[in-house]
Amino acid sequence: MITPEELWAEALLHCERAQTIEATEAARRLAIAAFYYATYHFTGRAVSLDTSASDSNHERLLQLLKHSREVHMRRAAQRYDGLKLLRVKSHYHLRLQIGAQELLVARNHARAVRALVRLEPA
Amino acid sequence: MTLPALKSVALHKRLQSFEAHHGSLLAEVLHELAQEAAREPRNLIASTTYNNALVLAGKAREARAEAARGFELWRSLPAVSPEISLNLAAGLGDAGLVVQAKRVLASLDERALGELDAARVEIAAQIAVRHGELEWFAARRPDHPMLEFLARHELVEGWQARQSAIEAALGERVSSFGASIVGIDGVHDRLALYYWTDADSYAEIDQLQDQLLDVLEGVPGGSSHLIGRVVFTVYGPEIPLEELRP
Repeated sequence: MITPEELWAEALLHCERAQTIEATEAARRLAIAAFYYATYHFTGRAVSLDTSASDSNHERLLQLLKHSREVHMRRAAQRYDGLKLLRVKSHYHLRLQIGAQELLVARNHARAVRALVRLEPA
Repeated sequence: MTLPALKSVALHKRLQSFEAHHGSLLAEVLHELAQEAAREPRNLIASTTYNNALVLAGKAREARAEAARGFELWRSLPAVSPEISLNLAAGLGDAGLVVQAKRVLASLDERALGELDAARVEIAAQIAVRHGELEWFAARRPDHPMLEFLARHELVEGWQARQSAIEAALGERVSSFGASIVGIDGVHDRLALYYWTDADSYAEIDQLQDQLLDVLEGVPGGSSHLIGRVVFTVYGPEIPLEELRP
């Protein structure tokens, strides 16, 4: 058993290592993926979605956030989708360059989602 | 026009090979190009190459000024090659000088440009998506994938108003823009819009990102229908001259 918080702590470590001078592009790509999955599980738990079920829950999670009546949840949806796009590019688009900015913008998105889904309803 | 300055051409080629971590090299080239542009103020190649370097470095204000100067120079010259005109149009588009960019592109409309046609279409597509000039672009390329994407997801209505609102809020900070369709899983593609800015820290990038999303929320109709279809991302310079602050 592992918690989203443990995944988050590991993602931060990956990010730190991927920012060093000797870090490779592969390290940055993996760190972005780590942010994404930590955020996916954390957010799923916050909205009571079973994130262990299947691949289709990634899109379901986005739809849940998107259709929320709360502005901050819709904002979380936008940030989550930005992170998701970076994760897809990191995993599949090998011809694109994934640099420090992509990594740290992914971190910004992940932090924003975590802060937003923690907010109480207005 | 004056004869092409060999140094500008060489520096232009060098710029094309630069990647995101080449900030210190770009700083050197930028310095040389600034001197070249000052030494040969009537050389449009030097101007467009200098502008390109300013755009890459995220120097939005300086790039806008150089693009505007290049446009005035272009107007005063009896003949300009299609390659240089396209470079100028791209720079004007990045600078948000849409009227001028459209005018330069229109000057090429009657000419068969062969392999440059793809570049002409791409420059027009970027201007159309960023500034909401969809009708103008549809008259040129009604079958373009980005137009089809917007139509399929019923995003055409309201597009111009929202993009204009973004420009009003952030335009001066934007050094360049990119739009492309990114496949997610074969079903849920996204139209990805990238705003490269002059932000010099990740905290500032995050503030601009929130500012952009605030603008989306504030436009009539809100932003819910965009979620899962269009992704707006703010970055700093394409090639930061110095490492961005954490």
